[in-house]
Amino acid sequence: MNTVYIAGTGSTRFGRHSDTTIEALAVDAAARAIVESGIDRSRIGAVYLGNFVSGPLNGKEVLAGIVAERLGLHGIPCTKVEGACASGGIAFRHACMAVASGMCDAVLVVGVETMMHASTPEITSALNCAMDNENDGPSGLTFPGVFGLAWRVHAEKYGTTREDIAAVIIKNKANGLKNPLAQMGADLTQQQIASSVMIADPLQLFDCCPPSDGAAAVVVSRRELLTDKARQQGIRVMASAQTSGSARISHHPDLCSFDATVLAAQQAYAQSGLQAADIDLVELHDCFSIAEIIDSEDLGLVPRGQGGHWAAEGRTGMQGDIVINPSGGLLAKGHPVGATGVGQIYEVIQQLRGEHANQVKGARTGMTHNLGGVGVACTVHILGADA
Amino acid sequence: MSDIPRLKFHACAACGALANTDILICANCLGSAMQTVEVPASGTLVSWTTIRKPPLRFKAEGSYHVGVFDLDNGQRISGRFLAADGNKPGQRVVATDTTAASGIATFKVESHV
Repeated sequence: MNTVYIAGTGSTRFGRHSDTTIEALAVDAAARAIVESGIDRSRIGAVYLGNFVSGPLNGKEVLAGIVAERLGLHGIPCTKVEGACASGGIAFRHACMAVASGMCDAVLVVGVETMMHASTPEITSALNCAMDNENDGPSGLTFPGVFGLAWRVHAEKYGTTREDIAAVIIKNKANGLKNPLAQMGADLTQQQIASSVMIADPLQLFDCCPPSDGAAAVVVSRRELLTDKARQQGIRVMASAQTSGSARISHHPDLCSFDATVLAAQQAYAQSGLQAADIDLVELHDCFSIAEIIDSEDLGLVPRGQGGHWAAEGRTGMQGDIVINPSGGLLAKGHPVGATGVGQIYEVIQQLRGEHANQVKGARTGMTHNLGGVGVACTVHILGADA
Repeated sequence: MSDIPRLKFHACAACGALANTDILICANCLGSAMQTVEVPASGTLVSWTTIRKPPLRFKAEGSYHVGVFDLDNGQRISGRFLAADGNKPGQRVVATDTTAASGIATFKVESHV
């Protein structure tokens, strides 16, 4: 298999883009990635576009082909990838496979979503398309509800408190303040969080990531196509794992663990030959505050049941044992659902280049974790710098 | 036990695997002979939440409780929950309504079942 390298990156800010169409956002990020890569467009062999709810919220599909045409890419395979909130991570994995297999010299991957023009019930309904709607859906369960259920179990089993969980929010919102691409960085207090409105008990407003508009893009290629600068950076994909789990909450034996994450992490560590202790930073899927705690345990970064305590003790902060979500994560950077997975990859690349606005000092290896639905789809990627 | 409401499940005639979805093919053995069986709608409370921001379909209800329950036959299911102060995971629950058109049952805590 060919080693897959990062050739170029691009991203819009995440947040409200009322005057920009979903196609234009995707083209904006993608054009930057292509230009930065320095790769002639004739060498780009495929486009994978991650998107989740452009159908229900925009009445638009076939975005991959539309975006490719606007980038002057003609006749190549263009595929929209959907795996709920993991759509972007899955799109990236397919781009990696195309280069690794030798089928393509270079591939463009784009993640994009626009959500902020829609009302909260409309967004909730669109996101609920990612439930098992023959089973959990008819009960009226929502995604905040899924994590409200998980929270109660985590609290009961491990003694995790409101204050522990708020520590995740305070950390990520503070990181978001330092990230110019982030939608909603903030300097929050325990009291502000604890007094915010209930969304899905015990989950409150600040426990939820904001819906967002945004796009991110990456060009991956064989080493031979890299610019001198990219070759010097030598950022490559060390592991690409994608797994599945049950879409039904009732088919999860432990409500505060996702089998798909556990399996993807195991595969990613095996592929890369690395262990959790070798990872310098992680961009993981904190769609809700409690999700970061669950993910950090499922990824093997934090001992089972200790996610809340580690957050409260600052062990997942910028100076901690393992730096989690230096971008601000979904909680602060925003969650344009189909773009998020590619946005995480974008963030890790800037860290490995040493060019991030909230730089993790000396970062050499970074992990991303992108989770869809009730854990029905998951990707874990590990990126590393050669030198 | 006879007054405990019953829930409809689907059982594979070939291997006996149970599912609470109306499926045509058994996920365990891919057999196609599925039968309807009834199981007691009693068990224990795993967790619950109060949905205060419902999707469009349930918007008229305002807020409501959804729970996850481990039935005594070993199956875990989700459904509506009649929550009350002091509820705790592990409490005994029984269905109060198994006839909803959606196929979703509603449970409540009942220490004597």
